[in-house]
Amino acid sequence: MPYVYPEFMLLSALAPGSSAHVRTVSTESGVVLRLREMGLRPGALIRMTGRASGGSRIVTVGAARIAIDGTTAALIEVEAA
Amino acid sequence: MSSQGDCHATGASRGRIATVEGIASVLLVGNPNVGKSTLFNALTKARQHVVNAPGTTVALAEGTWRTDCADVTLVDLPGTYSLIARSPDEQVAADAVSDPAHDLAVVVLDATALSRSLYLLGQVARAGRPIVAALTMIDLAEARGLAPDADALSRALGVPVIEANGRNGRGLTALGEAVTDALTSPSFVTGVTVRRREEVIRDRLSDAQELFDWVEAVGDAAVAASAPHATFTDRLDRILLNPWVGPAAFLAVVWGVFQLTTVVASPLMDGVARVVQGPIAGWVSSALGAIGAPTWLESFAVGGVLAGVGTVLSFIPLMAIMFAAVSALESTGYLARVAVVADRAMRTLGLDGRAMLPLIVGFGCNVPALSATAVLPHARQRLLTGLLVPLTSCTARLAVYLLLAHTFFPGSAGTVVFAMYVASVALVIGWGLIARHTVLRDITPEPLIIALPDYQWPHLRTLGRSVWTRVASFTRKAGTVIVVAVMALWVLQAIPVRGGHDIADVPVADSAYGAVAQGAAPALAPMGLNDWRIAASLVAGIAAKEVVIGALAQSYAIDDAGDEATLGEQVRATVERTSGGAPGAAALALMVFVLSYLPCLATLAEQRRLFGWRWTAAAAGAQFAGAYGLAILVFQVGRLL
Repeated sequence: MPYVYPEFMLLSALAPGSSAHVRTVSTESGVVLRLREMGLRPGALIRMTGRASGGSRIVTVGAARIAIDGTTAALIEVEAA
Repeated sequence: MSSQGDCHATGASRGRIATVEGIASVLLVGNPNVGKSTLFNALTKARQHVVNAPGTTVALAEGTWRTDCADVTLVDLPGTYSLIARSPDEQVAADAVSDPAHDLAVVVLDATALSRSLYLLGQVARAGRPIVAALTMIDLAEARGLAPDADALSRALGVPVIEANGRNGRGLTALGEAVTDALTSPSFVTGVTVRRREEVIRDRLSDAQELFDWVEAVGDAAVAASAPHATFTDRLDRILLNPWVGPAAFLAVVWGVFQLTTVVASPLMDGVARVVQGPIAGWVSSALGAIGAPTWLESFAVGGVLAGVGTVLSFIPLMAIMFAAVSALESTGYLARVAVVADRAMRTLGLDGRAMLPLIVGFGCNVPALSATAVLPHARQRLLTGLLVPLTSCTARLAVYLLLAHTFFPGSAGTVVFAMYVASVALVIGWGLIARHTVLRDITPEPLIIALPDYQWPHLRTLGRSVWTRVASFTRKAGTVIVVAVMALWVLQAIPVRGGHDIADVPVADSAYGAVAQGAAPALAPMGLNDWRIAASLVAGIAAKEVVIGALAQSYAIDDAGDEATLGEQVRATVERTSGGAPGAAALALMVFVLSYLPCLATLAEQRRLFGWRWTAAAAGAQFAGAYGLAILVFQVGRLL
């Protein structure tokens, strides 16, 4: 089997129904902290539930359902699970 | 039921647990939408009231909780995800937790989002508070295949963990026992290092990581992991948050709320007003007549005191309906979705999606719209929204547009009225942008990161109690101001300034009120409206926009205010004279002026209650100046066309 490079992408580009692990968030530390407090910590497994009107993304972390606006979702790098 | 003997180890009989400060103070801390307010309502029942957090406009519910052993004061803090505050409301929660004046924190743990709840509990523990945990939403968690074990959790945390359900009252007695026990022998969380208040945290992220690790260890001990599966809420969200259906569903909800304020509340308001002005006024008159009271006293009692009380009373059904609608939307979980759907549109004003609802309610009536700003989590955003609310054209102003539009633009009255609503929306956007770039420059649209709770049926008893508490708070605070203001208006109308009339038996033109209007009228000349009767109606309209038409009719001394054709003709004759042959332009200027010159007294009183008099006065002043300039512009440009 050839080595498969891990696939990095932005959370905003994640297809509905697919899962991924959170990698990094590139924004001010207060927002990074709040995202981590809401469960989006490095390594956390998330599932993209869908894209809402207005561009927000709905993701599931554990049993929690979190809405993140589109701009912020584009700052979160994930690795396809 | 526990017996007296069960009351904690000291064997104290039922009474108050005395602390240095007096009665013990217990904080209720938790994430938003975890059933915290339902729990608060179930614990304190009717013994609660709304207070402002010290030095802020953040409203807190405070109540007396009568446990089987003792009475304690319970404070319902704003829901927060973290004590590292990102908004003034969250700051209130953080400050209260670190305030040693409070004896104990009851931390509400959401069984469906345990790690988020445990993180907050860890922060409260770091602040050094004794803690009792209340585990809620267990039924929802079980339905999802997650069942945290309260006993295991209690062992891992080192503090009591009580399964409690505010909806059916289960576990509340046990919670009361745990709290009274903890007040005499405090329980502290194990495994978390208490922070000194002055300790400086250099790296908040790695500092938080310590807590995350602790949360993970505790959570592993208490809950068996299972793969989450799509629930009813997920399926409903697929519809209600759909890019196409979502906004339509939102508009339908908003329309429904608007209908409630106009269709349901209006007849109730009219009914209250009729009862007060009819039978009650008659009864007061004849009672005063029977004891030989002077005419002026009778006139004051009916036209001043009773009219003021009637204005307040007629607002109560409207307030109650609005509070109920907003509380219901909140407790079903839909309000969190509104924030998502309307978010992008409101971002241009520096606001959050949640600001949309109060603004729409404002088109029904500004007063409940101001109260509806309470759904906004950020005090700054509440302030901006609350200052914009008076620019939404309420139904009382519609009556003025209708009279003027039919009189001056008989062929296109509908278009003119519609244009006033367009102007209202334009004013909200315009003033919003101005405020955002001047006095409220510090308002920045926050990233929207919110948890979407499961959809639930609203809990009627909780709904009823919170509506009652809020209506009582409105009546006590705003009500007093309205009654006093209406009485002051009566006094002005009762004082003769010329013509040698008796007190309280004065034609309007000869009263102090008429004199004020005559003094103010020349200021209306640049908009082509230099007439004391128009000025008088505008002065009266500050009390309530409903009285503008009535005051015009009074000034023209028309007996039947409902005879609008006659009133319209008289107004038209006046405006043709004052406008120098451009009555249409002057009428439009008058409508624009009425739209935004000053909020009514009830709105001002509610604004003052929510934001303080400085903001209220500054906003009213700016709004008045803007309306004055705009009305002049409309007339001066209009008469050239």
